[in-house]
Amino acid sequence: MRRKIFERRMVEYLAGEMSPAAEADFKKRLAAAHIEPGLAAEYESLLKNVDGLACPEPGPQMRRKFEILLDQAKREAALAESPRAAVPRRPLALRPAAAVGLVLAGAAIGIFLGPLTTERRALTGLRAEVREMKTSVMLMMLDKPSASERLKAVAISREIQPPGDRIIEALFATLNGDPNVNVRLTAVEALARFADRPRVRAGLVEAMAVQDAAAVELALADLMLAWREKRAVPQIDKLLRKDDLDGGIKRRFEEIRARLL
Amino acid sequence: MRRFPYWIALLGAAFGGLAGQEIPADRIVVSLARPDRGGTLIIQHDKGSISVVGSEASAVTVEAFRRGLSSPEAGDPDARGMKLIAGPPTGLRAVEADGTVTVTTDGRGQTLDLVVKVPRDFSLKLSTVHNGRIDVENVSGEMEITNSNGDIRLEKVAGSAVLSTFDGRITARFVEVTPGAPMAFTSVYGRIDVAFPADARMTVRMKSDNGLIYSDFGLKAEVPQTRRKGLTVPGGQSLSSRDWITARLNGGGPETLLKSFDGNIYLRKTK
Repeated sequence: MRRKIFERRMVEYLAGEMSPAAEADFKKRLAAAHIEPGLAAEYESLLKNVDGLACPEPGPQMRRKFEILLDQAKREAALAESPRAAVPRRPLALRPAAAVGLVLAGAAIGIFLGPLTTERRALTGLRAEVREMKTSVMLMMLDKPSASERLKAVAISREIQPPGDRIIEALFATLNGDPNVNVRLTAVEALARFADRPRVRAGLVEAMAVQDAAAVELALADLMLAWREKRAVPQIDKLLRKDDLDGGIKRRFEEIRARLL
Repeated sequence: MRRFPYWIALLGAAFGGLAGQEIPADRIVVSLARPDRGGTLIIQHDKGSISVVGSEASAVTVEAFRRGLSSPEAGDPDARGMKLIAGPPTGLRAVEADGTVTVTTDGRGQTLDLVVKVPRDFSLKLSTVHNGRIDVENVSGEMEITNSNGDIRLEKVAGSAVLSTFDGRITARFVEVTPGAPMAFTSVYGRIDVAFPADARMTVRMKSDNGLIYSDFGLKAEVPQTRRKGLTVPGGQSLSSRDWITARLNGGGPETLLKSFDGNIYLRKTK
């Protein structure tokens, strides 16, 4: 099995998407292909466990040191803010002591944090892998003929943090091209979370022009109102010029347009 | 006894309605190679209703009925009191491939009502545009149904559903839901009335721009700050808001979306 196909099958297998026959065949091929025996198990445990992984809690020792450092930092800050008032109250001899204390605390924390940082780096790598895998699963599911599966894919996209460009693009492709109104509506909801990304905002404004279902047009117009997005006004004007526009929806568009201006 | 004539009239009307549909204009029986494996029914209809009923049969039976030519509502007074016996061809076809049965018609402008019997475990992908409603009864599977201008009604169904209509009403009574399957129900103008088993685990997100939202699930609604005060109705509670309301049934699960622009939303327990 070529690597790409293998990965696709693996994702399907792990997502429980395979029919029993395909699963049996896959397992047979897996056994025959002399693939490292632990690999499937590794992938599986990766998918199952990573979400449940927690960052190791800092121990009491680290907390104490941190508090010492914090106190010192606070004092330093107070000194920096009002040097004239603070200096006479603090004997000069304490300053070198504080400096030494700071260095020692820093060294201790450095030693203590050393292994943690390695672990954290490994965790970050693992998380990136899982994100990549979830992205693959999501993209694969968006191509499925079943609307329920595509809804599931949009739901998965919400779990991927932060979502990469591939996910944003796939959500836009869904919003502008999915045959099912419900799937398109959930894509609007999923994209609406990225109000802070200019590209997403612009994309959603443009999307108003290509919709043919009133439910999606209304959802987009509502979003524009919530965002006070004035660039949507020309798009709403276009919608208002539609011949077959229903009376109630027309009134809603006019209301939104008036409130945007 | 004063009501007796009223009942007679009702029975007469019901019989009259049925009489017009007694003999199908066309009928096709599609046998399935592996009925135990379930299957999928695909109908993209243009004009008329679709009714799908699950049965113990192992074949798919499709019947097409011409509608309205002799009925008084159709405005053909010359046909009153007569029976429809022939018309243009219905163009009814049913093709089976790998468990998927695709039904098409070419009614040349006629309104054709389709009545389909399927094995109980069957998925459905149905749509109609004009002049009809879509009814499904006693079927278990994945249901994707769009009726642009009419009602959608699901009775005693199991599985999952993704339904949408523009100005029709949606009614769905689930006896069982597929765990892990998201669902969605949207209507622009119609009300949405869905019932799920009391133990269904799902996260329901609901929004009606101009309507009210009712539930007898005793749910804990995570209502956003803009919530308006709702009304209380006997045997249930009412929530109202212009924002999305999220409710976790039995701890939550896959997302179920209920969205209407103008209609009320009723989320109830299957009785």
